[in-house]
Amino acid sequence: MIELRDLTKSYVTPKGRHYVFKELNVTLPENKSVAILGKNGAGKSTLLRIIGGIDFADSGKVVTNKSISWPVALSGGFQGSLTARQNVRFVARLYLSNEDEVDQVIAFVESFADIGKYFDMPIKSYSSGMRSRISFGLSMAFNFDYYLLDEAGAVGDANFRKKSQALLDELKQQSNIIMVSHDLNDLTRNCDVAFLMRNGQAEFFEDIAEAIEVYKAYATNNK
Amino acid sequence: MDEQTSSLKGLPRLKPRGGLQVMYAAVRALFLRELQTRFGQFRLGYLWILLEPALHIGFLLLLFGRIGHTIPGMDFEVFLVNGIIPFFLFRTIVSQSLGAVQANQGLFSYRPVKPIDTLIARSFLELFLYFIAYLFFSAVLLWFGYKISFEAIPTLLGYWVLLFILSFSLSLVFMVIGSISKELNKFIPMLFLILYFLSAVIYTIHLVPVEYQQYLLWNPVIHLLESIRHTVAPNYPLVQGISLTYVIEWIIGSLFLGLLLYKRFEQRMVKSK
Repeated sequence: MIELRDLTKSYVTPKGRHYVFKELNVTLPENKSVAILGKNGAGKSTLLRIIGGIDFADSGKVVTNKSISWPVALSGGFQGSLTARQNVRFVARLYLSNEDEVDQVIAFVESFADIGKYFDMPIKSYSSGMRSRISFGLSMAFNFDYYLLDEAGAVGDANFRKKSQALLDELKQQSNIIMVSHDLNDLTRNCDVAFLMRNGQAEFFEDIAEAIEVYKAYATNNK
Repeated sequence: MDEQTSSLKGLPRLKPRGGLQVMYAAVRALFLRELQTRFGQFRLGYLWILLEPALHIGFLLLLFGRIGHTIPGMDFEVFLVNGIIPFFLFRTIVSQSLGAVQANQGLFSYRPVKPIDTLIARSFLELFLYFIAYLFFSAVLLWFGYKISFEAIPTLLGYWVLLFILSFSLSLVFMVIGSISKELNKFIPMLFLILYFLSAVIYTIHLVPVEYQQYLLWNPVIHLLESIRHTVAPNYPLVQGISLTYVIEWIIGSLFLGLLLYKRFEQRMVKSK
């Protein structure tokens, strides 16, 4: 269970305080995947990161006993001068205390990413596609209760996308996802409930289809 | 895809861990990563652990070794090694902490990593590097026939530990200050230059007239440097007023303030603004 209590988040801008959401109170139901809808800049990623416990609201708190991943396919934590193997080892060491298990994770990411000899070259020499293969594979290597996907579907070639969707489907049997995407089909396919972010508020919908209807109407009206 | 399925099944499962376990794992991973980042990609690799401070200190020795030989009861080279290396340890740990939060922002996306972990890992790394350099230089000096006393090794190590804790405590304070105000980052490094001259690193406090020594002794670093020198050369006299109690008071004060500030501002350092 993830409970959001009285969450308020705002940014100070030169034109005054801008609220992302105010006094948000929601209890996310068990075993449901969550979509976050909204236009660019509505604060979708911010909400995602706050739920994940790696960003913080101004007031209120997130109460949970679930394990939550970092945003999948995030590569900001990678050190460019180190190889993928070294970076993967670093992240695995953060979450696992046993070196044998760390090696298992490395072996898994190496075979999933399938980038051959590049796996032992500095990450800064990678193309963005290669980088996301590594970071996607790395996120999938742990059994989190929730995975955060921040427009993660949009990367890689067709083959890799198929591969990651298959992996995601498999993960969804045990885990849930919290997902930000502009691809509405993708959201309907993967999620059950939804947040719609607009006008400095976040609304919660028990049914994703309803949220998408409201969002479509809102988006056309505001063109 | 079946192959993928089976490999996913064989993966290790996350277990619930206690806070200290998580912190230990984070500090350890950060320490090892930092070591790789700093030296891994160079030719000669880990030899740079010795070479980097060796070049730095060797240069200073050349520069100042010719200037003065007026240290009572101690060779000037031994005096310098026992001043410059401990002072650099202090300076590096504290000044790096100013930009620590910004430099590690990407890592805070991994939930086990907290700002204080990056600080601890970095501080231990510096201690490790400078202490190796210290041993190396002491060995070189011994080889050249300089006199270094081995009478009180445990005391000497104790001073190093105190110096390390003092540096860490102050760096905690400076990490919070540095993350709140980027402007302060501009002039705090200058303070370190002043502190360098006020810490009796390249001259001896015995040169300072007695009535002014008390002002220099406000600086806790001097107390430790002088004590370290007295330990490796028992004939080197301590001036009136050198006191470990004073250093420990500083440690308690700054550690308390540092932890208090850290607890208060931890989330603010990490969150998006």
